[in-house]
Formats: sequence, structure tokens, C-alpha cells
Amino acid sequence: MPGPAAPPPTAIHSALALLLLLTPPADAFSCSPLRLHDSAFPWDSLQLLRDMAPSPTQPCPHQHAPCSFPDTLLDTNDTQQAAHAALHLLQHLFDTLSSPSTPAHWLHTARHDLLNQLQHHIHHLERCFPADATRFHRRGPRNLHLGINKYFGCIQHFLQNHTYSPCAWDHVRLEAHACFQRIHRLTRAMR
Amino acid sequence: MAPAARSGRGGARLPQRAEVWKQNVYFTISRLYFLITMETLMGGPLPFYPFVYIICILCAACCSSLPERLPEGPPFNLKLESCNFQHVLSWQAGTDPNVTAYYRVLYDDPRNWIIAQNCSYIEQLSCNLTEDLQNVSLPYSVFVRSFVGTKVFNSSTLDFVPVTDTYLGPPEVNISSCLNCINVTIKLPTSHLRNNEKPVSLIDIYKEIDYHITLKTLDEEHKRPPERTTKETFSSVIGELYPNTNYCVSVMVSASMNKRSIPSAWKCATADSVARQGYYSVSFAGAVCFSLVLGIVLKCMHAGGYILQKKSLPRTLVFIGRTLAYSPCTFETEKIQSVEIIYKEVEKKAVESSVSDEGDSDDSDSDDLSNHDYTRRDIVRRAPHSSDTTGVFVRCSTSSTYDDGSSQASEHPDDDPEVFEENEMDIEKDEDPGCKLLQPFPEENCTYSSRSTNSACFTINLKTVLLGISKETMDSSAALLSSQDDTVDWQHRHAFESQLPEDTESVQKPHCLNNSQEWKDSSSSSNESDSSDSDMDPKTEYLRR
Repeated sequence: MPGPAAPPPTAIHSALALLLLLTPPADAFSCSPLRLHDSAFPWDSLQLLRDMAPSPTQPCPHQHAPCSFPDTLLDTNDTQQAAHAALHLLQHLFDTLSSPSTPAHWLHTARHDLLNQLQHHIHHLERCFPADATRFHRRGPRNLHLGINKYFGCIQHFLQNHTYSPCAWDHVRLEAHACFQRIHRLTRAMR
Repeated sequence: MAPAARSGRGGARLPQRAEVWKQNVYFTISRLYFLITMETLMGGPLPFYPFVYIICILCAACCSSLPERLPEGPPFNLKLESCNFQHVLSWQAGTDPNVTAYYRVLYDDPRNWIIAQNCSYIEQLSCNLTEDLQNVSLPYSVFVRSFVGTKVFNSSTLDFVPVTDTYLGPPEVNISSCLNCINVTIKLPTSHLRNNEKPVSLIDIYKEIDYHITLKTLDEEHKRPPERTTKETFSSVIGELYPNTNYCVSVMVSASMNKRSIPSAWKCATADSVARQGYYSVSFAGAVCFSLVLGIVLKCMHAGGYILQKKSLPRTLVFIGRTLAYSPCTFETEKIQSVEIIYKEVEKKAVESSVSDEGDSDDSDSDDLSNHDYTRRDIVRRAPHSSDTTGVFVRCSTSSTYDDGSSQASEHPDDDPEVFEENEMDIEKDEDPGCKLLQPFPEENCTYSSRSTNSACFTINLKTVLLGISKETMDSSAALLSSQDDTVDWQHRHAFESQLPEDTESVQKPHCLNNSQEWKDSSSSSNESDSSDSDMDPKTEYLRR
């Protein structure tokens, strides 16, 4: 009785080739596209921001913060770079809004919910990158993330110069509103 | 009307201040009254208390009678109603309506305050900011400045971000039925945003639009999971529905950055069933089959000659008809005359003379014949000719004519030539020159012995002809025949005399009624007609000599 026929050598080679093709490289960006309900993050964040920071009791004088965001980061088709920029933005927003010097008239519950949501998305994006994610900071001739650091540093100086007044925080609220829009734009580029 | 966006922040209701002030006054008066009452009850000094009472009452009366006059102040309660990027700001006046106030709307460019277009110095309490707030992502700040006389008041600022604060919708929805399903066609609302006067759609702004379909029946309402689209117009099929059941649909559109939406109105339809689907196809097929059957039946009836009969004349009559159509001659209706045909014995001499002479001598032959008998040539017909006839007369082709005078001619042969000549001339008079070309025998004159001036031929309705030979005639004919030794072949002819009505003066023979063969031959030669006369005319079955 003849035994089971051994697979031909060509089949083995084909299987190996297929495995190699399907196996993603070690440094590949493995972040899955955001699902439909996750795309509600920008809107939910904006609603929480609105609920958290009502208008001050005293009308604020018109003032402008001399801080400009590097909009060139938004014009990217690279999904990894977009994800990294979004992650950096989320981290800075969390640090700013979680400051202990936020105005007293801000609603604590809404602020707590907003910070939780920010942390959730930060954790989701951090899982998309491998452990040695520091290598991504060195892609390209310029360190684009320095622009984000400079922007938020300017905001911190603005608050300090205005002694963390409610009107200064109201202006920061507007800047945070714009940052959520930028995160949404970067998230769309990640698809 | 779209719901209002974030209202004005920090704006106080100035009319409440007056109310607060009045309430404070009343409270103070009531407190004084309470203290005075307590002192009185406790037996305190009373001399000045009545004055205090009077003063308090007067103060209360004054406060109640004071008109509610609004103090002058800045505009308040700012509301920005935005729908599909059409922004309308409205506010309430901070001054007395009876006092004229002017307003100016300013919005915050990132670096400067800009006066809104068409809202620089207005009296109305609203302003359209669609053309001003063009940057959809920019967080604008808006406020209203009022001018009351020489006073200027500024309202509180209103923050507005168009891309997140405008309301989207309602979309255009159309539904149609299908088999156990309904097909929903959705068209996104038109955006009022313009980029260099070019319309900017919601897809251009948000890149992706989410739409939510709500399905409703009589019993329940079901919200379907949201779906995403990148098209201006799209459709969605809702399947697995119960047939013949009415469903209503409402659609909302939103974006990831903007969940503010206005739902569309309910649109209802009934899901089709198999029977209904088949009904349409069966009806269509039935109509097609019925049309085909009807067409076949009509065709068969037409081929059978039951409908739309096209009656065509025989070729001969067609030719005759065609010829008559071109004939300048007109004819009168024939009057049928009854005639009595009497067979007469033909004398040998008259026969010989008629046979030997031809052509021009036909006249003399006919003259001889008329003296004794008549030989009918060709077609013998009689068409009474009325005296007032203006139509063209066609000359007869035969040389025979019969009238009352025939018997007289036979009885008086000597007079016949004169009569004939006279008649011949009459014939010529009656002859229409235009008809000569049509005459097969133009030179022929009908022989007759009639007194009629115009008659050369007559027409006899053969159906009324009664042929018969009297006994006397037969005896004489038999004797005559037996005595003849001529080698000339005789062809029996029917010599007859007719009795004409008195009113008939002439007889005309329609030239066009000859057979077609003769008509064709007539144009070739007139002389030949003589020879043809001797032949038996197959058409008329008359014998000639």
C-alpha cells in the first residue's frame, strides 16, 4: 500500500513565498484604520470642550496669541507621519488641559470626560507604533515635531504672561478647538 | 429655521435691573412697616410714626406708578443661526424701541476686527454674515456695536466656527418601490459657501458625509446604522421588507466634525410584491400580444377585400378611362330608346355597289343603301342628341344610322341622295373639329336617311333589342337567297329601322366608346377603316360588309 504522497517541492516554495509576502516588515506601520465610530472623536471632543468651558462672566477684551501652528504638517500623504503628528498633538493637548491652573468656572465633569477621551486616543495611536518608535522622529531632513513643541510652548508663555486669567484660558480654548480640527484632518490622512 | 448657534456670552438682561431695583424698594418699605408695627405693639413712642406711615405709602405709590423705562445699553442676546453655511446673526436692542438706534456688526479676523458687509450702519436687528465668514475652520468672534444718539455700546462677543457650528441639511430624498424593498435616493443639501464665486459642496468641505436613514412603519421606528458617502447624489436600497407594507423614510446627513443636522421630511412608499411586479410585466405582454393579433386580423381583412377595398378597373376600362380623361369631348348621358328592328331583304345591287366602292365612294354606297336598306357597320348605338347640347360631339365611326326616315327612303329611293347629302352636310355641321383627331374613321359619314339634321348614328341598347323575323319576311328572304348566284359572300346583317322619337333630331355616337383596339388604329389611317369595316367586329358581334 503506497504511503501518502509527499508535497512537491514547488508547492513548498510557493507557500514560503506567500508567507513572506504576507508577513509585514518589522518597521511597518501596523495601525488599523479608524472605524466609523472612532471618527466621531473630533466632534465628541469639541462638544466636551464647549461644555467644559462656558463663557466667562466678565466679557473678555479682544486679544490675539502670537502662536502659529506649522500647517505644513497637515499636508502629508504619509500615513505614518500623519499618525505621529496626530499623536504628538493629542499628547500636548492633554498636558495643557490637565494643568492645575485651569479656571475655576470650568466644569469639572466635562473636563474629566474630555481628558479621558484624549487619553483613549493617545493609547490607541501608541499601539500603532513599534517599541522603537523613536526612529520615526528622524525621518526626513527636518524635525517637524519641533514645530508642534514650539507652538504649545508659545501657548504656555501666553498663559503665564496673562497670569492664567479666565480670558487667557478662553483664548486657549479656541486654540484647542483648532487643534481638534487638525487632528481630524491628520486622522483622515491615515486611511 | 435653523437652531441658533452659541448665543452671546456674558450678555446681561438690562430690563431685569429695573425689576431688581423696584423689588429692593418694596422690600425696604415692607421692613420699615414691620418695625413700626412692632414698636406700636410694644408700646413705644408714637407721635412720629404716623408720618413715617404716610411717607412709606407715598413711596410705594410712586414706585408702582413709575413706567418701566429701559435704560440705554448695548445689544444683547446675540444668536447666530447657521444652516448649510448660511449665517444670519440676530440680536435684541438694548435701548428703548421708541428711540432710533443704528447697529454695526464686526467679526474677528485673526489679526483685525472687520466690519461685516451690508451691516455697517443698519436699523434692523439682524445681519447676514454668509459672505463674510468664508474661512470655515477659523474660530470667529462676532459682536454688535450700537449707536444711540451720541452714545456707542458694544455687545458681548459671540464665538462661531462655521465648520462645526453650522447645521447640515435637510437633504433631498426620493424613494421608489422594488421587490420587497425600497430604493432611497439622497441628494446632499446645497452649500452657500463660495470660493471665488464657485459653489463649494459639502463633500468639498468635509470630504466624507455620513447619512442616517430612519425607517418607520405604523408600529415602530428603526434607525439604520450610519453609512458614509463621498458623492453628492447617491442611493441606498433597504431590503428584506414586508411586501405590500407602507414604509416611511427620513434621512439626516452629518460629518465627523459636525453632527448638527436637520432631518428631512418623511417620505413614504409601499414595498412591491411578486404579484405586483408580475402584474406590470403581464399587462405589458398582454398589450403587445393584443396589438399584434389586431394587426394580423386587419391585414387579413384587407387582403380579403373586406376593408379598404381598392376597386380597380380592368385594364381595358382603365385605358378607356384614361383616354376619356384626356379627351376634350364630353358626353351626355345616353338615353335609351326602344327600337324595333326589322330585318329587311338586301338587294343584290345595293350590296354590290356597296362592296365595290370604298373610301370616298362610301358615301354613295351608303346613299344607295339608304335607299333600300341599311347595313349597320361596326357599333350601332344610338345616343339621342338634345338640341341644347353644348358638349363636344364625337363623330360616329359607323356609317349607319336609322331613323324614321329610313322607311321613307326605301320607299322613295330617288329622294334619298338628296336627303343623304343634306344629312351629310348636317353631320358635318354637327361635327366638332376638335374630335376629328379622335375619329377612327374621319372620312366616314354615317349613312342615314333621317330627316334629322344632326343625326348620323344612333345608339341602341342591345338588351332591349328583340330579334325576330316575320313570316312574310322570311319567305321573301328565303326566296331571295335562293335566287342569288353571287359569289360574294354575304354576311347576314341585321338591317333595321328604328323608330325614333320625334324630339330626337340628331344622333351622336360617342367616339370614345369604341373599343380600344379601334381607337389605336384610328390614328394610323382612315382608309384602313374601310377594310376593317368589312370585318366582323368581335366586340359588338356585328357583321359588316
